[in-house]
Amino acid sequence: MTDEIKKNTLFDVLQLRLKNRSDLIVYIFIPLITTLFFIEAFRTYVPGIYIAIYHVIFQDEGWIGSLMLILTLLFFFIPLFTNYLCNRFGQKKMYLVSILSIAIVRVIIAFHLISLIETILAGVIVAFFGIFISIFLKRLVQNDLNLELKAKISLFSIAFIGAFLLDSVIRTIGFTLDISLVTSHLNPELWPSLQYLWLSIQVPLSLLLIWFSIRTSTILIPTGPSGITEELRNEPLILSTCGLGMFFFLIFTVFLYPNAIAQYTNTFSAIISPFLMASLILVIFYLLFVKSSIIYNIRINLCFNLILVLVLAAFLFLGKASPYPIGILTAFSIAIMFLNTHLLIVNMSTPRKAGIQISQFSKIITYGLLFVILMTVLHIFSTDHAFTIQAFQGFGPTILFIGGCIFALMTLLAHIQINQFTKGRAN
Amino acid sequence: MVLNKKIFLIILLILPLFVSIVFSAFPIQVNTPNFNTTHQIKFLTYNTHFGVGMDDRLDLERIVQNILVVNPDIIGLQEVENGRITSQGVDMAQWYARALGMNYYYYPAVNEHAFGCAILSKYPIINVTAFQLPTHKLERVLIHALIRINATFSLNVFVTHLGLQNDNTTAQIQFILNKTNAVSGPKVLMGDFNLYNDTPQIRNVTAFFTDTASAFHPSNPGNTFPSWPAPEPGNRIDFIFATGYTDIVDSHVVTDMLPGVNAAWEYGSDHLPVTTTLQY
Repeated sequence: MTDEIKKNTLFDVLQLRLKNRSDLIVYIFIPLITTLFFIEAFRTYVPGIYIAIYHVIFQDEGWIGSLMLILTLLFFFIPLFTNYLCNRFGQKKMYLVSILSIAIVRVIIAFHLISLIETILAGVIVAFFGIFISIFLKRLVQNDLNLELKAKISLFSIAFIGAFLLDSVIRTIGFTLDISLVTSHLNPELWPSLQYLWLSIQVPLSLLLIWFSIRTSTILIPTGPSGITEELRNEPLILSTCGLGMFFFLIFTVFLYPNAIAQYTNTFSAIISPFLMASLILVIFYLLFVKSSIIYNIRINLCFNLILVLVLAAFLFLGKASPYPIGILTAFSIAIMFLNTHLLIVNMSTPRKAGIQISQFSKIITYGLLFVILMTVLHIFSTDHAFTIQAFQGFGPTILFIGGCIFALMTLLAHIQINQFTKGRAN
Repeated sequence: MVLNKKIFLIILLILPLFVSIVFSAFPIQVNTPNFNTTHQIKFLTYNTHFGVGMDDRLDLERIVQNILVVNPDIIGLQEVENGRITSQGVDMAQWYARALGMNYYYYPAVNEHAFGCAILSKYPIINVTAFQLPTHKLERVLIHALIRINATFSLNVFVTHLGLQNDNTTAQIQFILNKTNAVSGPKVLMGDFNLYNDTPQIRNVTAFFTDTASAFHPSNPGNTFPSWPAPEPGNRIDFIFATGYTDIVDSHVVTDMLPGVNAAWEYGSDHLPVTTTLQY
């Protein structure tokens, strides 16, 4: 099978092995939609927390309520209990509960509740996404799909990247609960009602997610003893943790937004936006139609990461010197970021001595998100709140660059580790 | 069969790119009013508080709805930002301009993307300059735009947002007056001054400009901050100053955003917008 995927592309392998439509629903549709809801929730959560931090720092009206909101950061630790919850209630139950929670909470958010509740609910989605993804990846790796591990993770990566692509499309069309990238004229008289129009998409989408997840749950988690107690062992997963943390930090701070890239490079966001989307499509094509011997070639990935670091440096420090070439290159470098993320997920999904564990994934997700918070706070105090700590002033781009370098380094080390594990198993 | 699937997949993946290009390339549709029929221009100044209302909700559509209550021709916005994570990465000035169908110019104050001012106009903006104001606190800016109203009439419009009272607002006002006095012809200076109308700094401005709200409603020009809670805001710190016009047709603080609603959620910002219609 290993030889087969080396010689063929993922598309060819999937043609041969993945013939069941239910498999596509379980392994593509469900992670794609849950990831989409996670992206939207995280994007809602961060401004809410940011405003709360502002109220607390300046201790203006309502700062105590804001302090309570900041405490919702504790939600990020909830995925750490995934293993315990699965042992207590069963994997399938927790898998369904996490999807149900994500789908229902996302509908509630679409009702435009007060900001405090919206932020809390967005935090709930982030927490349940951590639980969902831990169980999902564990089962994906463990299940006999007649696919090699790398092919299985590629399948997940395509769904994951596809969610970012879908998010960009929804925001570009402007028919979204979030702030759209391109706006149409607003009808002031109808606006109070029209703002709920998104519910006509959100409700069926959530219902579809719930229905599919219930219908296909036995495919992902076959009936049997579901509460398997796992022996907890500490595995050195710092590479994936740190790498994924930096990925989410970079993506949600700047690189998810065409306007942010345009602002750094003094370019027109309408030109950057299609390039950002093209890079997402490119990386999906790369995973689907390029042979794995090339995808997992460390020399090629070393070159990619060198390009990433150079483009990042040019973007952050020379962005306005050559606006459009650097802006477009930066948009394309997102493809390398997503490719790196794929490698990091392969690394974290590679079974170690203790086998593949839910806690392995939940720890990476939790600590990865904590890295995001740490780096975001550092970035906020070196940019928008720089006037509060003068020493931090002007360090914003440097912090982003350091994040990018750590991300590239962690990916390369993770890649070496993947190769070592692969060789070890072959021996 | 396999080829068909491959082609279908490729089309499916490339489709979003086409959608993106079509939607992104759509230019801003501006409907320039016919000045020659009315000889009136409606101005509005609004501190948008980064699109966040008193209910802490980030909602740009609500800001646009608030603005459309009066449907102004030229707008001065304060606390506008671009590409920040806190506003989901959007370019607010461009966003508002697209939603309102207006030309725009944005100049940031902090970190090249935050706390900036913007000018939006249904008339063409033919020249624009932006300045950093003198400060020993948070950076502040002044935008000077030359707007072509018709073939023979161009208007100088200044938009600003001054520092708080513990900042050097006297120097900031002096800087602004140096810039406004350097140009001749009809002028409008609007923005959030963070100063009450009885302060020496504002008296300095009224030595050269008319405070349109005070001139139109001498007894009660209307307060602008905070927008909520009810019954009414306690301070007037947002102004539209003008010179070179023939008459003030109207000037008021926009207080009722949604008729029949009296709640925090109808206000897009912590400030209320001020509008003035001038006859030329």
